[in-house]
Amino acid sequence: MNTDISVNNVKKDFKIAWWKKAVLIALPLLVFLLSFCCGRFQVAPNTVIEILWDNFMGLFGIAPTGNYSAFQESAVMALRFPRIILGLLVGAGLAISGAALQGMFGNPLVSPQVLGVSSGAGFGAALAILLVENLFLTQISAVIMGLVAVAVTFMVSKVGKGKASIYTLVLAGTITSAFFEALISAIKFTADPFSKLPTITYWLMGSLANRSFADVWHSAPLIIIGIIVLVIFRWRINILSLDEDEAKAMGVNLKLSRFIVVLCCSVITAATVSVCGIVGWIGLVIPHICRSIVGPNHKDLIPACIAVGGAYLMIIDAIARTVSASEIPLSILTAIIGAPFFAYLLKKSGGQWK
Amino acid sequence: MSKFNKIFAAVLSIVLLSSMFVGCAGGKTTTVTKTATNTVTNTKTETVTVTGDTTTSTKPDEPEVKPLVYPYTVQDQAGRTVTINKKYERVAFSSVRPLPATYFAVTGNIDTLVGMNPSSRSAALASMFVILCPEIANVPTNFIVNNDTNIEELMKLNPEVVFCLNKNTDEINALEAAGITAVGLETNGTDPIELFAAWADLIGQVMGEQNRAKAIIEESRKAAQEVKDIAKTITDKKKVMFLYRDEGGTLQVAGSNLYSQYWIETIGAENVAKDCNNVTEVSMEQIMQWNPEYIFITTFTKCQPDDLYNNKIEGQDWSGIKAVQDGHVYKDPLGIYRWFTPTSDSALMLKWIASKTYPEYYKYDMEKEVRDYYKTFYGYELSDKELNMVFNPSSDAAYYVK
Repeated sequence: MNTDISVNNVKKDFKIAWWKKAVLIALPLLVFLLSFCCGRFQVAPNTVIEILWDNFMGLFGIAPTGNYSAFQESAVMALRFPRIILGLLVGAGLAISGAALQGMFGNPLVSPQVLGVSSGAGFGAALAILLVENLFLTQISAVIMGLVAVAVTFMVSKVGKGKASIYTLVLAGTITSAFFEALISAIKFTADPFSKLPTITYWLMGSLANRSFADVWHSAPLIIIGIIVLVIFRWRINILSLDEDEAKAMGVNLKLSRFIVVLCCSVITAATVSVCGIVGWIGLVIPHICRSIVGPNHKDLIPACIAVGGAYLMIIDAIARTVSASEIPLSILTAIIGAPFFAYLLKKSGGQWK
Repeated sequence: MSKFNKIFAAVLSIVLLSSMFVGCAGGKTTTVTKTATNTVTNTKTETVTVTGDTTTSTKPDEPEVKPLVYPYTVQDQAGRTVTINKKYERVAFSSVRPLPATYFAVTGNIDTLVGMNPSSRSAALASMFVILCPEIANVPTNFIVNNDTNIEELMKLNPEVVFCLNKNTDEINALEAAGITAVGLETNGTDPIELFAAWADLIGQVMGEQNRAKAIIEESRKAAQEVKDIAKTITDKKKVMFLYRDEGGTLQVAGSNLYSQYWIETIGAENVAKDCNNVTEVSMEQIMQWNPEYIFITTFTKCQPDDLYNNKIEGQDWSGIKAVQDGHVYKDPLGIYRWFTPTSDSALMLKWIASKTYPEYYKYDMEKEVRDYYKTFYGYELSDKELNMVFNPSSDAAYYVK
């Protein structure tokens, strides 16, 4: 694997083939539409198309023409639609955060988990499940504790006087993660082993089962804002990936830029954990896959991550809800399907992304 | 550096002191173990088995006074031979939640109960148990924290015999080492009636009070046979589902290899979730695909039939489900314990679910059945209000009160 993920060696005139761009745009759209057809409740694909068409035309006040039951419409529009949207947003958000953090830290092993946000948010969710078991409060608690965790990470990284180097931040994140992981274990230890414990364990493995539009409204704004800021900021991430002196020489306020990137990634990660638990692997691997397609320049990498990350989680969730009567936790699938694929890519590329 | 030395010295002394205490406790334990072993060896020569003794009347109200010859041995469900030295007067239950209720049904009182699991206590407070036997609220539970038995706390209660889960071998060994008789019980299985029968039989043998146990077991088996005979004549297998939990975004059904399978199959119906293992997280879509005709909601969840009828749960759509359209959604009753699990009320649960699902085949008057049963086996006349509580458990019963 190419460990040098800075853009030092990228030629200015590096162009991405038009068909790659076309595929990257078409992939999420295609997956988005196809995943409406996936689920345990059998609705024929042509019925799904009718339902989608009628709902789309309904936006313009045109009366439905399709022939289907209200029950089928409910399965497609009320049960599958929110999951698909959340799959797209969570996948895109985690992938983009991973790419931004990997670029900023200049380290290919970094993922959104590194700042301690996931553990903090996971702790917030577990605590809320233990105490109240109300989905909305669980979500709020997760977001708040996720942001508390990243604040702790920042504070810890600044304890030593002098330069708060970027590596101190990673170390502080690891410490914070370890602390919140321990708190999660403590909650699991006290939770009722017959009712609350399975719920907490299941939550920590990530799932989009039985999510509604209300959940979309609760989490989507945070994720979308984070994504938009990172997309606008993607030029800056290129500079952040240079070494410190070089970046300073370009007249960039390093501290502020880093803070904005970390804040966006934290907000995105906390929001994703709040809505669907901890989904591993995406933030680590999707950026590498994207780098193998579009190269290390964040100008292209960040948008590519939205396309591939979103499509990947939509596919994973379609599998999670379709293959068996019981819902399969997302983290199990993201790793079981993702790991061999990543290993294949690694082997094929000989460790060098071109 | 001197500060550091002080701390080090303090820590060292604490360690040393505590090791002394451990040493003392260890010494004590050894002596106790010795006596225990002695008794066992003494008794081995004159062991009498009580199981062969079946000449007892089955009337629970007037237990026959039958001289027992101590010591005798019984086989527990951990595959051990347990020696019973005397009529035990101090009994504790460390695991298996429904056991104190079983114990009450078998012995008729809880005068000898000195300790139980906190979960058993909170379940008792939410059920009829506390009404049948108000003293249950005062039984100590503090020797169990996070479902783990603290042997030394337990020893403070000075129990003579402790019933626990048969898989807890460490706990059984520790109890035996402390000179306390340990009896292991099995919870795995799908047949609640036979699981209950095994518990009641074993508790009866250990406590030397088998008449009431025999009567309840006989009644439960009779009900099972009655229902099975009628079920043979049923040809249309109705699609039934047990909704195990539905709240806070968690939607779980009870599948096969759990009591749900027995309740549904025995009455001649089909468990739609039979391909799911145990308690399983499913999606609303899956339930739509199954489209159950009857839904039974357990008392492990706050969810009530009204939540489904009025489609109150966000992210789920129950309106098109057959059971909801036909008004066939029911909350499991809560008697001496949660009816979903093996209890001394299991005969009633079977009759209840049968008469709800196939009223044309099973013509039980459940109010009368419950009243008569409680009078016969617990010696208690249920008021109308109490009867209503049995059939309409509140949502709060799902959560354990402290």
